[in-house]
Amino acid sequence: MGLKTYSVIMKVTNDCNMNCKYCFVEKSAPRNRIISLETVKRLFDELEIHSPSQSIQLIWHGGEPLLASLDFFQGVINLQKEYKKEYVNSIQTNGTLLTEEFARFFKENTFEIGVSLDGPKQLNDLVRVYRSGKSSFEKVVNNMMILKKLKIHFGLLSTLSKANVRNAREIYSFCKEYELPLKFSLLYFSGNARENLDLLSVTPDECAEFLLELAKIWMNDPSPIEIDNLEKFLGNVLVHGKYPLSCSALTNCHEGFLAIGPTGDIYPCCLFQGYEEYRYGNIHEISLAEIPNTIVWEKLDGRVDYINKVCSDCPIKEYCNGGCPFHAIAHYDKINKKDYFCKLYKKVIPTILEILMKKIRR
Amino acid sequence: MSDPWADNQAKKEEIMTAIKTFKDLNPADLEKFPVLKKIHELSNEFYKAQDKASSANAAEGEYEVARPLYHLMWPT
Repeated sequence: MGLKTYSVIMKVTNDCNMNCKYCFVEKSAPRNRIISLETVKRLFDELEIHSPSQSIQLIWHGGEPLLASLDFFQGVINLQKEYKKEYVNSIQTNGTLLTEEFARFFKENTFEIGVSLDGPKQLNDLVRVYRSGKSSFEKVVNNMMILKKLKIHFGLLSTLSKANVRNAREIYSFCKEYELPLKFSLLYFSGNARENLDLLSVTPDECAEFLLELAKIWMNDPSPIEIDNLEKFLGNVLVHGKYPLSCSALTNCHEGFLAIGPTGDIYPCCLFQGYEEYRYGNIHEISLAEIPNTIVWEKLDGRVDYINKVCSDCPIKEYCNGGCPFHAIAHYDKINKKDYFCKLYKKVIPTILEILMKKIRR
Repeated sequence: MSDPWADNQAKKEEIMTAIKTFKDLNPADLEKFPVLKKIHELSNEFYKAQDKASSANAAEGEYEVARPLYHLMWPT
């Protein structure tokens, strides 16, 4: 099987002006570095030849990607014009460095924007703080207003942890107030998170309770906000699991994704940065065409075989495919394990279906 | 949390039936609820892309199916 890249996670840098208590970037990931345009060009050269997809999504990520200058992003756009591939750009930012100039640039170049925020101030400030420990909430909300003023569609990405897992209603109300789409990221037990487990650690059961409470509020709202995770759970069922709408439900990370770090190291996903045993190689040293012949690729394929075996009689297997391999590695130090949050998927997907069916039949 | 249906064949079958029923809902049912309306539109997008892909060559077609939806996949 060959390379199937249509989304590349561009780790602009692993540096950040914030110090969120759950940041998943490992200490062993390269620091004090912003990806160079030379490295980006080398990647584009390779994608032009080896990606079978005409359209490629780039997800500009960090660390904090806006630590790179506007000139850097303008350089990227100029580069993209030199290729036949069509590039679709997205960016995930903590929002603190977002200026009107950046916002206008993103609008002009049709970037999709995600802002990381964990709901209202009292919840957000428990985990998402500047390096000094100070709150970033007001700054982020003010900068979100720049996006609103310019009529730029964006969404919130919130991480579910012990700090907010009992606050579904407050988070929903917050998003409603600002008319924001919402997506949850489950806690990755790596990087800073590993050092703050007392504050952060959540069980699949707690997360399931949260999502079900959120789902009930959402399903009863006559004008609901977009909740990415819930829409994808249900959307996956409607498209018969043929094309998973969530990356963690792909049979394999390499069924679509690739990540590149600031030094040019390439991985199946950005979560693997700092894990040498999951590094495909460096874009300046290997061709993307060589990736399917690597041991990392083999390890990921091995997990697919494992999941096919252990999950063979699970009714929702085709909608989760064993979940995220990184959750397995971060929890069990083994790739051949189910996602730590397996029980969450098992509880949430059927329960939401059950509630909806009852409503429909009523 | 204990496994919601470990070794419970009857529960598994119940879930499979619920999934099948949900998949087979007609559009009018789906449109009754605001949250389902959008999901229904999303699935329609998928099927439209799939139809388009079926007339393209296999390698490119596969990616054409993904295209309208991939922007929704935020990995982290």
